[in-house]
Amino acid sequence: MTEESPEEDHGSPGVAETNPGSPSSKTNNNNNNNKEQDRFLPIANVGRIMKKVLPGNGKISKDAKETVQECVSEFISFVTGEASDKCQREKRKTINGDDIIWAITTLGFEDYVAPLKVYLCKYRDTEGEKVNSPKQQQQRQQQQQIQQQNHHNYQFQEQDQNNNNMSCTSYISHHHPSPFLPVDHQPFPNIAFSPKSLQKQFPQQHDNNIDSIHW
Amino acid sequence: MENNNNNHQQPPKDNEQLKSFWSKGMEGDLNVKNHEFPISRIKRIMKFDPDVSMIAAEAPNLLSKACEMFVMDLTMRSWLHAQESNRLTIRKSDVDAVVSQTVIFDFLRDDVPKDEGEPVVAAADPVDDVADHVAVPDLNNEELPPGTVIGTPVCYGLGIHAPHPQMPGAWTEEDATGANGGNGGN
Repeated sequence: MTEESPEEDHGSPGVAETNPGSPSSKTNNNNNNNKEQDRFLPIANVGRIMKKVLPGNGKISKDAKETVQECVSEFISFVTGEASDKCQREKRKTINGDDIIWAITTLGFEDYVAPLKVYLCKYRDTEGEKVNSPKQQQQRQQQQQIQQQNHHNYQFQEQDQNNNNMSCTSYISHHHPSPFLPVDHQPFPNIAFSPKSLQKQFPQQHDNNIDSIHW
Repeated sequence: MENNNNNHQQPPKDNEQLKSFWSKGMEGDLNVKNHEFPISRIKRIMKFDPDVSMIAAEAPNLLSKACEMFVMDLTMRSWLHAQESNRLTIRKSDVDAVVSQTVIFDFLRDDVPKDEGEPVVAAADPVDDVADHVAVPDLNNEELPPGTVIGTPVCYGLGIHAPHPQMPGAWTEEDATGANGGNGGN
């Protein structure tokens, strides 16, 4: 496995170099440009970073930028291959930041390690902040549950109202005769009430009927 | 003689400027959201390796920062090389010279001779090539002591001059063998 990786890494640059070396038709040039764009980092970004370490009067030739551009791709493949080998030895499938730092240390770039560790800590802290958003979602779910409870209370009140209606209905059904008939037929023979008091009760029953209809 | 004097003066400058560079680097370039290189492109280059199956999100981000350091490192050394010739412009030959002189850039030497080969085909100046080859052995002598942290450096294009008798001219297979040895050591 270790032998194959270097060979493949060696093959890729060869292909990249061969294409630019033999320009022929426009189509081939376009294909070469596409391949280069896929294989290298943007040369504008490379040039911008190169200028960071130069004084104001320093300049960089295009050939130098292109060479550094190729070197960076080799650097990425070199570090990635080393990190991938480590993951395989440890039977892990995912390359993480610690593997990258280990590979860079192993390959001799010790000066890069301290800043990269600081950077990785900051990156993970930032990533940790993103984890808070699921908690907010949980809070929203709790609020929804509270709303559901309120809705349940409302339903409970409705049930109470239904019970009231039921009691009203049973009250009406209990008095089977028509409320107007008792005036003539003495509906309550067992109860000793004066006709006036009976007449007073009739409007109440009538109101109850109206109320029940309203409910 | 003059070359030797220049080489003798070079290490102190290298150390001083590189140290100040790293201290500045720690201060200014640690912004997590400030990416100079596109993460998607780095991830694509990582996946060229068929052994690479899954990549955590933090890996290409971290590698992006490492690439910035690599570019600045390579550029600063190239600038120092250009200044040795009293030039204010970094040339391809400066980058190639730094690659051939610096041990941690061993892995880049597969490409440098080929890059030099093409200009020759395009009628480059043979005298310049000869001068580069002549200059390199002395620089190697100067660079070797600090660079011995890594394994034995191998120079493809310098086989003719045989700068170090103990290390014969290397072929691709021998380089692979050396790489395997290095991995074994790890």
